[in-house]
Amino acid sequence: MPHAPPCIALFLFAGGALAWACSKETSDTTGVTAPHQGWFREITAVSGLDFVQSSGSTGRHYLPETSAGGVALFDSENDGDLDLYLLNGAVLSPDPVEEEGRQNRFYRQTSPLFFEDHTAASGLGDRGYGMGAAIGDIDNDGDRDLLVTNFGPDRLYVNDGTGSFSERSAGITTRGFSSSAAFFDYDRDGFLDLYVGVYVEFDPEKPCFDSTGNSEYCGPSAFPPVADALFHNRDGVFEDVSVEAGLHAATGAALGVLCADLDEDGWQDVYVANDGYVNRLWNNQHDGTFVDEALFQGVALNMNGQPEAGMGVIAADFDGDLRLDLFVTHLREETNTLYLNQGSGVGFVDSSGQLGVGAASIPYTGFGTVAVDFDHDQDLDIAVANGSVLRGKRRSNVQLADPWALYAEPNLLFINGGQGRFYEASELASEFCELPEISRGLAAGDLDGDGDMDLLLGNIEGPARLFENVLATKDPRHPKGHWLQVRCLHPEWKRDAIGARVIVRCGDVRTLRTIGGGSSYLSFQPSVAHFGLGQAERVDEIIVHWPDGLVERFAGMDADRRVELVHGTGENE
Amino acid sequence: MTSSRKKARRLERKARREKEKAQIASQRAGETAQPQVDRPKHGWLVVVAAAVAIGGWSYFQDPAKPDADGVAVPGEAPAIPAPPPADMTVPVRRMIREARAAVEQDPTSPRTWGQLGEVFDAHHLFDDAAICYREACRLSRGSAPDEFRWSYLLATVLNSAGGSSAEEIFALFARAMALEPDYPPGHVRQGDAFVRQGKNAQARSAFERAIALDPDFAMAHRNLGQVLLADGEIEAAISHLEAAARYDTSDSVVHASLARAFRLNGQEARAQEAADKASSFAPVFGVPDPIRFSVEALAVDPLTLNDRIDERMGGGDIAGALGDLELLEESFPDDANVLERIGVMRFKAGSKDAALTTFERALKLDEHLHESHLHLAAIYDEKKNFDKALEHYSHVAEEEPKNPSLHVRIAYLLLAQDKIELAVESFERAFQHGLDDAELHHNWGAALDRIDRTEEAVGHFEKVLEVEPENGGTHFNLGMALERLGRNARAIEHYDKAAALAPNLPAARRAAALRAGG
Repeated sequence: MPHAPPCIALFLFAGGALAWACSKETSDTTGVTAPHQGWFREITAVSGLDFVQSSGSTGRHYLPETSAGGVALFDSENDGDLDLYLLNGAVLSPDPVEEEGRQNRFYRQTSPLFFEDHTAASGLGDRGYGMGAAIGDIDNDGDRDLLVTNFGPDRLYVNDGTGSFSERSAGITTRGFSSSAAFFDYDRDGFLDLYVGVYVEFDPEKPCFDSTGNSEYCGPSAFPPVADALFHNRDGVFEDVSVEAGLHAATGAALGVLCADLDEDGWQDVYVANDGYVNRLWNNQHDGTFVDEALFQGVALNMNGQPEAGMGVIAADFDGDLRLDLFVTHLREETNTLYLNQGSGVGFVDSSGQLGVGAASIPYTGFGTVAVDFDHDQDLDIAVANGSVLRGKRRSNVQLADPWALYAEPNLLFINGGQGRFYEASELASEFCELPEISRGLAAGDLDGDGDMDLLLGNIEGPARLFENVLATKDPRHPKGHWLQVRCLHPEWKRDAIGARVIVRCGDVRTLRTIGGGSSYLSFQPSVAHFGLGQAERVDEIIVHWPDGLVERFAGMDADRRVELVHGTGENE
Repeated sequence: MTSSRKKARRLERKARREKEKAQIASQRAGETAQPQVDRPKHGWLVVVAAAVAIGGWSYFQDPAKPDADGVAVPGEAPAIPAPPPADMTVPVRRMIREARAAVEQDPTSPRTWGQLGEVFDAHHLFDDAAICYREACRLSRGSAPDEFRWSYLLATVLNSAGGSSAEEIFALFARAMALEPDYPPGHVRQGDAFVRQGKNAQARSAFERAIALDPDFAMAHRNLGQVLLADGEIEAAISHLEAAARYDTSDSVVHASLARAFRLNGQEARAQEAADKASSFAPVFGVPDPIRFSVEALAVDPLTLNDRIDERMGGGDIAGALGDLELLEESFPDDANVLERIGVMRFKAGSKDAALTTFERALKLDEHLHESHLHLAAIYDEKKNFDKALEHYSHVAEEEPKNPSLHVRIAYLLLAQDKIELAVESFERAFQHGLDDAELHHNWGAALDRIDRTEEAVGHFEKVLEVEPENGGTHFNLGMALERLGRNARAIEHYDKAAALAPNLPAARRAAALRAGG
């Protein structure tokens, strides 16, 4: 079918919201024309970021090669801006071969939107087969430490407070095929514990083929499933408590991990997206143990009662009812799935079809995903990083060489039209969405401090890319939506209150966001609650549900600012 | 079918088509509730005008125009999808080439196009499959059975692969099911397509139509139950899920859904019971759909072949399994394991000579193939080629030195070659590695007796009789051994027992001779 011009394509795909965008385009008489298309401008080339992920492939189709590609956005030295950490592969022979020059890379933001490679100085040049990263202050000393999940032994890097890290075992014993991980405090003792998702028991001797007989990457079912690992943190030293916590008997192929208080009982639960197996919802029993409630809560399977190939995960309030819903990205021919939280006693309902996130995702394999109010209109939009795990059709504008070109897919952007009804609107973010690559990790954060959320994208066998959100600030055709960023700090713990639920009220509109707890795929994004406020110039109040159970109300304030709320300084609810 | 019934059916189909078109139109209208954003007042006018102008332009540019039902129909025959690339396996390439050649020979036949589509479809080449099915649909207009098949397959492919408009998928299913309204799996697939797009009400109707046609259709009950569950109609959901569980008791998906339904209904014990069942069964995927099965059966890629070989083996279909294995050999001519599997299959089918050749080829590629050595040894044993049999057993024994049954087999072969002392050593090895049964001791004893280690032989025969006191043959052998040692009284005793237990042995004669002082 011939391509219709963007305007009509937008109309056909997304209806009114996009029609509005088109009308803006056509009625522009300001003469200010950005060289980019839409909401994001790629700034990789001018940012100093020059990382290109290497899968280490030798043509043998070892599964880790197509599963990696994590990224992290975090402030390494508490200077208020975000730094970048990119995970790299290694040659598999079939065990990872650690080589000079092939390592994870760390980039420090030295001036706004400009990054310098500080890998050597930071001590973060891990040479294992890098999968993902999780970040948290494990020793409550006020800085962020970093866990690298590997195909091979995972490694913990402890921050000395200046952005210089040293490797420490600290009791983390996972050494198989780890995927996503998240720090969270499941027993409310003030120290961040750790959940590590483990993929499969990989066997390099296992050959697999595609549907025409070509050698191809295996799916998870080719290998034995495995159990994940839970580590309890006692004063900065971890102990594997998977057995005691009740996790050991439940095997799967974990790829996406998030920790959040999904049942609003004040205790952190864990949701795990398994690739081809039932997902797990580890419900916190308040006594150090967890019970899998996924089946009963409606989040183990899709609406047809079938397990899907779960990759990336998000827990966020998509429909504005102050309950955390779940979004999971999936394999081509499956839909990305949005489980809408119906409240206690009912659980979740797969509402992907009704809410518009299902059909558009069927041709693609989704991995990293973020839920962010990109346009500051008070609801969460969704970006999805796509890239196949099986060779497919060659797309027209692919830049990768063979065979990788056949795995490349474009990314997706879904705009929330209110009440969680989404419209696929990738045309509005063409720089982020159009170029087919093998995208995996995805993280959102305010890189330039302008209040809106930018994106860091990780690719397999391709460059990591930075996208600046230019919608709200640089485009004079768009009325600037107001915003607020909230950090929640616990003075005793000297760190972000991971797991806090933050509710902002503007008039009658209440908006829920959470602090940290992991999400996306192999990736980490800053522990800040970001609110788009629309035309509201002021918030009326902020309510924080702290992870230790305390609920506090903070006074209203003007919009367009970053605010730090300190535990114990609000008014008790 | 009488003409009046046909007419009634036609009218019913027409009415259903109209109804579904109306439903789709109303859905489209309902979907135009759009995101709440600030829009300039004239925005819609600009966009609608642009949509009309450019949509019209696109229509005339695009050879695939939607017909009255909303199905994109090519204006002219499309190019036949390209020949298969060299990196596909030989059987897949051959199958595509043959189906392409049929289209080239008869490009106006819906069947040749459809069959090429099926070959692509079977190998998950959905884009090419859709091109072919679409053309088959166009060419088969007015020929109901054909048109149904190609419309239906096109609908299933587009629904699986994504990238097509929901409206077109719905229209295709609607057309297909109007042409063949009595096909329950089609209604279930149509329902699944509605579910995927969030059209629960339409999905429910489709599942209900399937159940009306086939009240025992487990998957129709299951899928209807799931939609009811999602819609919060818990009692009705339980009713259909329980029906599904009655008709297919071992589908974990049904029990998983029941677990949730019972929980929501406050029936905690039943919820837990269903959850336990869910974890003890495997999920059932895919609609039991003969049309789709006939397409999937065309697949000759290695993964499918391997699955099918296992299935055929499980069902005792040796000839079928062998045929698929031979396709696998074409795919991987240098794969020793495939050759070995073919050899085993030929052996089971009784083609021992063909098996022998296959095993020999396999061992040239990989000399460590256990099954090949074992089967070759057995074949050579049967052919009385004891040297070759021994060679292959010995090869396996080197790799499995602790396998006692191998040592016993070797011992027998050595006995057959009159290499008695070596045979005795093999019996000893078998014993060292845990074999301690009557048969071993009987044969071991007999071998020892043959090389005049009679005293030891007696010990082995006595061991046999400890566990098998009624073994006539061993009594006889023991009698012989004792006679040779001059212990005639005991020998007579055992000859007598042997004579009673195994009258065909010359035990009575030997006993009489001894009694007579012979």
